[in-house]
Amino acid sequence: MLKANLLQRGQVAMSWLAAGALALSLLLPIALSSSVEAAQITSRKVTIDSSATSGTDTEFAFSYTLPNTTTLEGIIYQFCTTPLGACTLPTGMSVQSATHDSQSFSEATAFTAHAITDENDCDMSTTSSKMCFERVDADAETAAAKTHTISGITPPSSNDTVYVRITFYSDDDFQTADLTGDSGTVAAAFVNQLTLTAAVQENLEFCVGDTFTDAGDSDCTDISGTTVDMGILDTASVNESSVDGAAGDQNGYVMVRTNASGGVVIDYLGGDASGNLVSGTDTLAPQSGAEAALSAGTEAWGMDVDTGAAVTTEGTTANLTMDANFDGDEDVHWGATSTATDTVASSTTVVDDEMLTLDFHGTAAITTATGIYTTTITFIATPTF
Amino acid sequence: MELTRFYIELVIVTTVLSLGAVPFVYESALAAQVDNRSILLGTSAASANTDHTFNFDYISSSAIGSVEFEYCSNDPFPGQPCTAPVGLDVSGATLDSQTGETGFSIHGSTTTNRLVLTRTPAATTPGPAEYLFGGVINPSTPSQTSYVRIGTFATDDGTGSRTDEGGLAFTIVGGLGLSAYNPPFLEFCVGKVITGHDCSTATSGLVGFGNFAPNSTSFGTSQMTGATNDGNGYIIAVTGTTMTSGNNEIDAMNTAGSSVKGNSQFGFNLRDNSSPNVGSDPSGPGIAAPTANYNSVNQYKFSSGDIVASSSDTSDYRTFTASYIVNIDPDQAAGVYSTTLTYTAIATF
Repeated sequence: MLKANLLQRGQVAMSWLAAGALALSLLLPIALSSSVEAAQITSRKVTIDSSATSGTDTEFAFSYTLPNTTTLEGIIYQFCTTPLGACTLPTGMSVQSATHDSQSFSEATAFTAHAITDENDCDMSTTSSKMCFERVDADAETAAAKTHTISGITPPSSNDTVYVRITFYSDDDFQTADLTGDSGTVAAAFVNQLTLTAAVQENLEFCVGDTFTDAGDSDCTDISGTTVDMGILDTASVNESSVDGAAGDQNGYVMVRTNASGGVVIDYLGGDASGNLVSGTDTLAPQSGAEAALSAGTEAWGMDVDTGAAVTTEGTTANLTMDANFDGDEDVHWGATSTATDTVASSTTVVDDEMLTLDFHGTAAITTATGIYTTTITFIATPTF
Repeated sequence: MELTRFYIELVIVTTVLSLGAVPFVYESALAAQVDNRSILLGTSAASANTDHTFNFDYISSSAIGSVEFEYCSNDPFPGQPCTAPVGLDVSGATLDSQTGETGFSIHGSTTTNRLVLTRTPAATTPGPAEYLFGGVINPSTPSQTSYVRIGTFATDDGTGSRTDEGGLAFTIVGGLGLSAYNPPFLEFCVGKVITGHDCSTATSGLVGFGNFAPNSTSFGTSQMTGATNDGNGYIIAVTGTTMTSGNNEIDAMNTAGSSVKGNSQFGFNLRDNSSPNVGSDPSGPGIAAPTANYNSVNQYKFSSGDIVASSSDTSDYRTFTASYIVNIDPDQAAGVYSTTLTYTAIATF
């Protein structure tokens, strides 16, 4: 009887023990889960300041939301060619010179870069793909959105996608036991740079004529004609081409536009070997000295730039400068011959549709042989690009 | 399935085209751009046979064996397809001078629109250079912009990749014809006195001799001024009669001679005389001069129709003083003697 009682009591105890074990087995997972709470960080991303594969100082700006409120004293960023499995640092990439730039954590203590030494899970000396940041701040970090910006990273040497695996530690000694359990992976792609090119070709628009009709754009399409007539010369007066309206307005016009950064020089040629107007074997001498007004009856002819300046009607520049012999109004000069050029105007930079209005003056002496005196004036524009 | 295949094929074609374009762009990107480049035309007249002078700065210091100057009408970009400017011809060009990098001559591969300079490849000194070519025929189309592409090469024949390069632009323009008419001009006047060769000052032409006497010579003067722009000059002729009084007359000096008192003589010359003391030599800037019969001091003559002065070219104002002398013989009939002389200036334009 006693043996039976003892056996019964033993069976009961065993039943309680079994029930307890069962209850413990059911409760243990619950207890364990409440202590670790492993979870992925959310809203995670990394923004790089350049996707170029060149350079040594790429900035990585991490942004994520911590799922749990916990002490946070260590972060390991591991840069890999894949998001999972064994980690291989992308070719050419170097991450362990990274420095802490900024952060937005609820705890203000700033993270600093860990030295390239091995300290538990932060085995930077052994594993070149890891970059650790640490701080000492035992207060709990809130479960909220965070940012952490680091820089000084050398990107991959060729196009590649970089996966950054992020793990957090509650202690700055990076022991596995101190893993907060929160983690996540972000990605950034390093790609070809798109090089955009455009060519602006050397440009020169240059025209000469005897008629200017401003159609509202004042370019070379507004200039036409090829002849200027100084009219009938007289010893008692000085003829001026602009007052004889036989054809066109009897001025000469020269217009230039160029994108030559070194400017443009406008030269002219004309007359005979001495710059004379010619009528058969007779000649009419030029005003070859310094510019001056002609004296009626003293044989001479010459060219004058009206007002002594270029005109810009619809152009956008005023860069042409008259040569010293053409900067006075109503004073004339002729310094060219049939083979030797003389400069009338020039610029040191670009010119946009600037125009010279040319007057030609002439007077005959008593002894100036009768005849029709002519020459062909050739203008030459020489831009320097 | 078919749609998928189309996309794949499209990608392949696009890739092939892209790869084909890369070497072209890359070649251009390798070359440095020559600075301060310009072309100076001897004349910008269409089709003219003229000089073209190139200035530019070498940039690279590597060995250069040739330089090209390619003329195009479409654009200034080296390496691009080139359309030759109409009428341009540099095949006969000569290298007349060279400064900076020198030792070049014209290569045989030069064409109508591509000038190639060659030398044994040698290292260059970065800096300015100038090449002057003669015998270049300008493009024939006025008001047209043409371009020149400059390129330097390591090779001596203008082949291979360009070391330095750059574009230029120049414009052929029509000439501006300038004309003026200088009309024929002859100015001539006669008077008793003319001041300053100015015809507006001429006074009346009446010359008085007073009373004649056999033992003295009567004399008087008048003046005339002439000028012309006739390149053949002008002449002054005299017409009229000797001095007469009714049917009586004083003998004209048909042959030049001296004044002799007591002889019947009427004559004149255009000089400053001493026997008698009358007249002045011609004055003024012109070149007209008395003819021989009226140009000897103290020698007088009068024949109607005689040319008394002339110029062989244009002549500025020239004033002549006609010195008249009258002598009578003792039996000269009394009366009032007079004559009217007409001076005529003629120019043949």
